[in-house]
Amino acid sequence: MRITRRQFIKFISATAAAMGLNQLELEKVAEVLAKPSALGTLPVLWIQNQVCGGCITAFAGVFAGEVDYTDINGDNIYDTTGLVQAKALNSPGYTAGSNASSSTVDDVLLDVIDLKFMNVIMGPAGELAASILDYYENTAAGGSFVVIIDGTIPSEDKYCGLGYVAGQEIASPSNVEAIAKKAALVIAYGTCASFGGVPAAMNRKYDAVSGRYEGGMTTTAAFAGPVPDDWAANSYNLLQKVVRIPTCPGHPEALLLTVVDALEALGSAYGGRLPSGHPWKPTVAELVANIDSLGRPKKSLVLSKALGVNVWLYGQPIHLACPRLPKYNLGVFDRYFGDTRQGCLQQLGCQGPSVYTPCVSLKWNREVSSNTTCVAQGAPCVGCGAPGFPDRTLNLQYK
Amino acid sequence: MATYHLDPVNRIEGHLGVELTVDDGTSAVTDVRVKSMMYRGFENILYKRHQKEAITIVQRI
Ligand code: SF4
Ligand code: SF4
Repeated sequence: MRITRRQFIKFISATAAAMGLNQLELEKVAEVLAKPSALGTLPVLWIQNQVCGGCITAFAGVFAGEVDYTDINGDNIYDTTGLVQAKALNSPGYTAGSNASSSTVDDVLLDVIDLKFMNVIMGPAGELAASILDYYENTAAGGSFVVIIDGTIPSEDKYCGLGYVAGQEIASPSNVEAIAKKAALVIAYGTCASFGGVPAAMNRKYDAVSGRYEGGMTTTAAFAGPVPDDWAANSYNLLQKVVRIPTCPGHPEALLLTVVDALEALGSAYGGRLPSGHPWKPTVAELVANIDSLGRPKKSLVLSKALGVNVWLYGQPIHLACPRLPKYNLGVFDRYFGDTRQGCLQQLGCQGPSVYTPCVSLKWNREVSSNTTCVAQGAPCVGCGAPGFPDRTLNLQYK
Repeated sequence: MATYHLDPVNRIEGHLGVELTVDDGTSAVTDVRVKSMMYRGFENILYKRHQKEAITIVQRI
C-alpha cells in the first residue's frame, strides 16, 4: 500500500479544515512534502500483536476507499493467481498489496510510507507473507527500515503467533523483538502498544483449570505489556526511544504527522523531502526534545513551523481545547447523560484535564461539519490515551 | 505424514492459521486444524468487574 500525492494532499486539507487553519498555507506544506524523494523509499513493517483491529481500521480510514487492492503485477489480490505472482516479495521493488506498475512515479507521493508488511491489507498469505518478517529479522540490513508496532506485547510466544516459515513459528514477542531491535525507528501505535491498554488490564485472579475465583488481583493470563523501551536502545535506532502514539484506537493523523517529522529531521536518506536549511525542517535535536518522558510527540514540528502556530499532538490536555471549556469556567455541569444544558462533563467522570491527546486539536475522522470528539458529543473522556487505561482511568470514572 | 501451515491467513482482521496434515502416499489431507493464533483473555479481564466498566472494555474486543 502506498499513499499517493492526491491522498496526502486530501489528508492535509482535511486536517487543516478540522483545525480551522488557513487552507492555502497547508497546501504549500503538502506541495513541498509531495515532491518525490530522490533516494526512494524507506520500508515500513506494521506488526500486529495482541490487537482488536481498531488501530488498523482507524489508520486505513484515512485513505478509505482509496486502498489499492492490487499486487505487484497489477492483479487484483482477490484473484488467486496473484498470490503466486507475489513470489518476488523479497525483491526491493515489492510492496505489500500495492500496484507498483500502474501508478506513475510522480503520482506516488509519500512513498516514504511504503508498507512492506501489514497482515490485514497485504495480498500474500501463509509462508509468502511470513517470510517477509523472516527477511527483515535475518537478512535485511539493520537500520534500513521502520517498524510500527500495534497491540500489546504478550509475555510468551504461545499467546501470539504471526505465521510459519519452513515449519518454524514466527511469534510475538521473540521475533518481533528481534525485528524491532534492527529498526531505525520503533513506533508504538495505540494505547496497547504504548502503555499496555486493555489486554494488560488487571483481572480478578482466576484459576483456568478449576474455573474458580482465587481472590486477589493479577494481570491477564497473557501477562501483556507495552513495547519495552530497551527495544529502541541500540545502535540502529536513531532516537534511542520508542515513539508512542496512544489513544484507543491510535490517532492516525498523529501517526502520520510524527512520521513526517521524523523523516524530515533525519533527511533525504530516510525519505525526507525538505532541502537542508529549509525553514520548516526540524533538527534531530528538536525531534528528540519534542518527545516527552513517556515517548509521546508533543506537537507536529513541520506543521507548527510552517504555520507559525503550535499544532499540538500530545503536548496539551484536551481540556484546554475542549468546546465545553467555557461552560466549565462558568460552572455549568451536566447532571446526567444527554443533559440539554450541554455543560461540562466533569461530574459525569470526564478526565479531560489530565489526558494529553490530539482528540480535540485534530479531532477524529477528519470531520469538519460536526465536532467529532468524545467530549464535544457529550461522552466524558475515559482517558483512553492515558497511561493506566483502563484500570486507573475507569477507577477514577466510577469512583 | 507431513504437516503444512497456512499461517497467517491475511486480509482478515485477527491472527488466523490453518494446519494441514497430508498423507505422504495418497496426498490426501487427513487432518485440518483452524487455529486462532492470539489470546488476550477478555473473560478474565471482565471477571468480577463493575458492569459499567464492561461498556468501555468490551468495545475493544
Ligand atoms: S467536558 Fe471534560 S475536557 Fe471538556 S471542559 Fe469539561 S472537564 Fe474539560
Ligand atoms: S477524548 Fe478521551 S476517551 Fe475520547 S478518544 Fe480522546 S482520550 Fe479517548
